[in-house]
Amino acid sequence: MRERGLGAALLRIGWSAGKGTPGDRTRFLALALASLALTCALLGLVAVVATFDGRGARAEARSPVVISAEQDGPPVGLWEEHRDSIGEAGLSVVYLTALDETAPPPPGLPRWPAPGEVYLSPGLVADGATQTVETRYGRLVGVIGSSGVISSRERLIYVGVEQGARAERPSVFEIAGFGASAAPILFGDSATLLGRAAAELMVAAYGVLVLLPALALGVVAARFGAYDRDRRTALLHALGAGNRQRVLVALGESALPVAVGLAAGTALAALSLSAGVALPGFDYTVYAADLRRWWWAVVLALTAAALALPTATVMLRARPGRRRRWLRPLGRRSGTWRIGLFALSLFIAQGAAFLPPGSPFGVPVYAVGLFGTAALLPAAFAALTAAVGRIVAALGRGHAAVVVAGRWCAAHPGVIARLVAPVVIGVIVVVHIQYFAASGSSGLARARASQERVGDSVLLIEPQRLTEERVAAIEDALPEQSHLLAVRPAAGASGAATAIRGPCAALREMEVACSPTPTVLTASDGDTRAQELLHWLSGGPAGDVTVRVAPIADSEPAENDRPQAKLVVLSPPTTAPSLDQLKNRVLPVLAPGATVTRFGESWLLGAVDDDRRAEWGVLLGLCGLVLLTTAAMVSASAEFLRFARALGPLTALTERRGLFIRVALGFLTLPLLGAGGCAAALTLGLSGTLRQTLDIPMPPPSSLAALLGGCAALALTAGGYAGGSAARGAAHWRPGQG
Amino acid sequence: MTGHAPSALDVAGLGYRLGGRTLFQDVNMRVAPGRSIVVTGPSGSGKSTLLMCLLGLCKPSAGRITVDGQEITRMWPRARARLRRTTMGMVFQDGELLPELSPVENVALAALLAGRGRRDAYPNAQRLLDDLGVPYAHTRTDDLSGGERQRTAVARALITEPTVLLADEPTGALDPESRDNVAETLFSLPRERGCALLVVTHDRHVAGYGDQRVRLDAGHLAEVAG
Repeated sequence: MRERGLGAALLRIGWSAGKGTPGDRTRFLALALASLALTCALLGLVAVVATFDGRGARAEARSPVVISAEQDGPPVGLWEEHRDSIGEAGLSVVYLTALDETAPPPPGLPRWPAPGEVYLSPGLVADGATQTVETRYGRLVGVIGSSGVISSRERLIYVGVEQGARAERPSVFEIAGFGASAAPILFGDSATLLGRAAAELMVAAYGVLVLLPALALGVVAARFGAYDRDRRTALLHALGAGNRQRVLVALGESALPVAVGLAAGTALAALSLSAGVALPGFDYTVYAADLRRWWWAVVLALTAAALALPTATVMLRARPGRRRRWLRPLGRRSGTWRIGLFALSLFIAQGAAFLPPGSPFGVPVYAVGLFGTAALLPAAFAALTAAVGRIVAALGRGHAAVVVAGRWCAAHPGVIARLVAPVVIGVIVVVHIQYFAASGSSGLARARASQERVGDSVLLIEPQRLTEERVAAIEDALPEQSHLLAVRPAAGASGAATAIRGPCAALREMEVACSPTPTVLTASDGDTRAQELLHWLSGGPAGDVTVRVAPIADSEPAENDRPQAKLVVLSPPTTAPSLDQLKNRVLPVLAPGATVTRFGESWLLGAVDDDRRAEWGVLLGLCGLVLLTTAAMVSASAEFLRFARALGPLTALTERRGLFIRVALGFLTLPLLGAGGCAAALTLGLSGTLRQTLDIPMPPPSSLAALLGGCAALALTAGGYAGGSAARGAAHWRPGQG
Repeated sequence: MTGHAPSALDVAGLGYRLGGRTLFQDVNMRVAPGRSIVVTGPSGSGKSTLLMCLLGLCKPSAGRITVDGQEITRMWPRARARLRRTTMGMVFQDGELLPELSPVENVALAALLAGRGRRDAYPNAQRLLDDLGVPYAHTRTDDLSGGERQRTAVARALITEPTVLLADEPTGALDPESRDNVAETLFSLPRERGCALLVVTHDRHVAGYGDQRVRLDAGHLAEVAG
């Protein structure tokens, strides 16, 4: 009984201590924020794992069970998948033919689509592609349910087609149903968003970019105002209190703010479990069904979040005998070598631009320089701030706030370095994630260069069959000024060269001589479009590309080792139809399976997938940046409030409490703004080198402006809040209170 | 404790109630320019509250306080703050100096906050530190001894040339030698600078330096003989 009474008393002591110390409101806010951040971060980790698990389950459930030697059974339908694109992004087109209407349709569909009917994914609806899909594929009859898509952003359509054309479609499968658990056919986003490697990469990225920063915020919040707590803990220890008693005091002190953060996190968890979560500013939804399958992990995450911060406040104590020196020794200029090393790193990074184009050392040299620059910039910036602080304090001797802020910056470079480090490193990392994602491969570079040279004046059609009727239908669908050419790809066995044939008007359009006999196309023949054809088609086994005047329709017998003929649509560069316009004209008149593309289309669409992955990197990076910056601001605010206590008596007597706001702006806001500006300027300068080294046709990303805007908002908030807190504290200062 | 000579600090009928409890009542005292008074008393007797009332940081429940001829108990807060900045100085128990600033800057800061120009603030700060024997030229504030820190705090309180100088346990954290040194410096100021000095202390030895000694006990202020 006595023990219970003591426990309650200790909890009350902690409770009172949490409310009666300087900066208590800031500590409350910091602990509540840290609790919320940790809860959300742990729930996010569960969401990541649950989402990958759910994706895998949905990919299996919608995968067709293909009838083969190993898989027997009555066929219920025909299934065929092709790729298409709308705008700059690709989509999967699945053609379905119901052979047994009573068989279950693919997951997410209420029934099998009838011929000419289309179901499209929510991702395509969100992208505003409904009209285009209807133009190309048929009548829209519904949206695919969440059980039928891998992710909320997936671009997928199911198109109902007649059975009749089946014999001429080599990639069509007879299926016995859906739900192939062994060796499922991956299509749509499941081709890129699934797999153990993708899941591990995401979990690792999430851990580094979100979970660790959330833990860092927790540690900083737990240590906020630790000076008074450490003294209290030491006193309790001296009075004979054991670990249990100290834990109770710490619990009493941190319970309310932790509970507030946890309650907000729990509300979010409840909402997520019931209705899913739409990520703010990012077109992505975490499905409630995926989370519900992992409900036990949600409970575990909430429990861990509830225990983490109180444990941290108990465990993280100052070690006796390890008192740090508060101020730098007079006259020490430890920042000089840091500035020197920083300059050397910058020089190395910029030096990558002087290596020959395509050098294998370009990226490694740049990476070494960039790593050094990012790692040393906070310390160099702090050393510079300290020097500037000394100068400003000397020059602004008539202004109390300038003197105090300048001297503070000069005396506490470590605080400044810790404050600006997340901003500096975050800006550099986030922008470089986008640049590296945009860099792609040499194939992508070729595709982009080609696009730049000819635009959509040369486009490819893969019509499956090249009969006279189909050619005529395509020609009718083409704009008046466009011409068709047929391309017969090279054959390995016969040694035949890639052959271009077409009417004389088409050959003349690209300034190539009209001849009924095959003529080898050389680098000096024709205009840019002819050169582009040579560029993309000359990679075949025979190497050469021949040109001749001949009918478009196929007259040659089919050869097993020779791919089917393709069509090239030549248009005047100034009036060429766009890829989407041509698709809208041609695809409706061709049978299922036909595609219209640019040269290097797979590279270009792959780059869009890379961009989406980079968006995740940026999103996670931004989360980490916000968490780390908040942690840094909490830490710096704690230092500032401690300093403000020393200034309290003087300002209380003189009633000049506005001084705190001005000093906080000088100590917190200006360095943060300066660091953001420095990081942006450096990133722009360095990325010029990177773009040159990797040949990235990308302007500075818009995220940079958003980052700087966010940084400025945080800087002003931090300065205003810390200054206001200090001023309020000074207003309550009384003699004898310390 | 009353008289008719012009006074720098005049307290008449001062009372203070905290909740239902009377901390002190009918407190009267006058301190003329060039004179010092020491207030002693047991812990919890209200010495610090009396000091807060004198500074205008705390509103008494009865009586009036006049500083340099101006009744601060009837002033608006802004006017009271202005009077405090220009006519009152305060020395705290621990000095309350900013370690980031040099000793000169610590002293000059008070002048700047009181609205004095930098052309006067810094030379005056140096002169005061010279007068009080603080080695400021190559010494950081953090490296000053306890006595030097308190003398710097005294210089900071004096830089606005106050009419009334208040000190709250100014020697409480010092060893005997430093205590005597600081006390001698402090109690010589009224004669040298013509200000009124009020010191709150527990230390009987320090109290002995005052021209006048009073004791606050059981809510009443009484003069202490010889």
